[in-house]
Amino acid sequence: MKESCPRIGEVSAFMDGALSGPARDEFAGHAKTCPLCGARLLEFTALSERLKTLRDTRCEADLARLVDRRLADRAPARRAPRKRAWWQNWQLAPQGLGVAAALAMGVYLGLLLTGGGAAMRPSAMAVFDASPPGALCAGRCSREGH
Amino acid sequence: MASLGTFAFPVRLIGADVDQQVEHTDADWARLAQKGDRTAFAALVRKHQDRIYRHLLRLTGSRDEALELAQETFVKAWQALPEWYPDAQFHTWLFRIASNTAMDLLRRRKIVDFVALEERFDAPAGGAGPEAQLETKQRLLALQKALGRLPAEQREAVLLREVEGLSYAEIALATGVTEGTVKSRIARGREALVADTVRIEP
Repeated sequence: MKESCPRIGEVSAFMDGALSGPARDEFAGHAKTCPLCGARLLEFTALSERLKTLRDTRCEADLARLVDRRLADRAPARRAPRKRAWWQNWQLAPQGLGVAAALAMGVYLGLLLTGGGAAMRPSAMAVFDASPPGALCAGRCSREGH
Repeated sequence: MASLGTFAFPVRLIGADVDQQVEHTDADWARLAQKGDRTAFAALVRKHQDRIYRHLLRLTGSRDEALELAQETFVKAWQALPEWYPDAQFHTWLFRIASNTAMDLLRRRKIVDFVALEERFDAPAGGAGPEAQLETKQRLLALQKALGRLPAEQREAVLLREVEGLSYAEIALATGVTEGTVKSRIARGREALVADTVRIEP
């Protein structure tokens, strides 16, 4: 039957300095006399030395640059308004002329409909009036006849 | 010389005309990063990238996965920076994000089983002859395989303690368990590793 020590579970905490002052001193004395705890302490110490060699691993990539690129990709894009070259403005000339002509036509027709442009009224339109051109005033003549 | 927990980095202060060699703590950089300063965050990444990458490499056993997870960890850290507060050690906070990220991935892919690092694992030369170097390399490979056979939680606790030098309290914060659980995981992990590699008969 394999020997065992009820305090073997304290070795790990003792090694890490996790035992309080009196308990630590007391266990240190025990480990000196207990072959099981003493051997376990040596094993854990050897293991610890081996594990420490894993600290030499370095990250070969520049993570700061890679992470910053990811952050930049996720940031909302801010695009500066594109500046037009001077010659590109000439390309807008035909559209500009068309818009100006349409506006002028709109104003002209608007004045015709509202009667605000009597001076500009075409004479041909007068035939549609209540008193056509050249006629006497019908209303006044009929009243005078009675 | 920079003391432990501080990081010397040339920095251009706002409104200053010259670069000044200023010692910044993690908390200083983190506060600047919280205001959206990506240069300050890059300084934090450079300072902690080796630890985070190394830890993820030992957890997953894969260089590619470790590199991807490390980037993911820092991106998550950037996004979570508004929640960080100066009372929390920045590196412990980072390890917590790294741990959650790695465990999520391992669970999602259902490959919690560790993949031992391949033969091109770089063992430290140590200035010894070829035979001694080969022996060191083989011993480290055996250790790496033994780590791989540990349950992920024990592996993580042992690595944080032995390789990264975190205290029980810091490991508890990083892994989200009690200090008692940390103590137990480390003890069991060590016992299993010793049984696998360096057993000494009394």
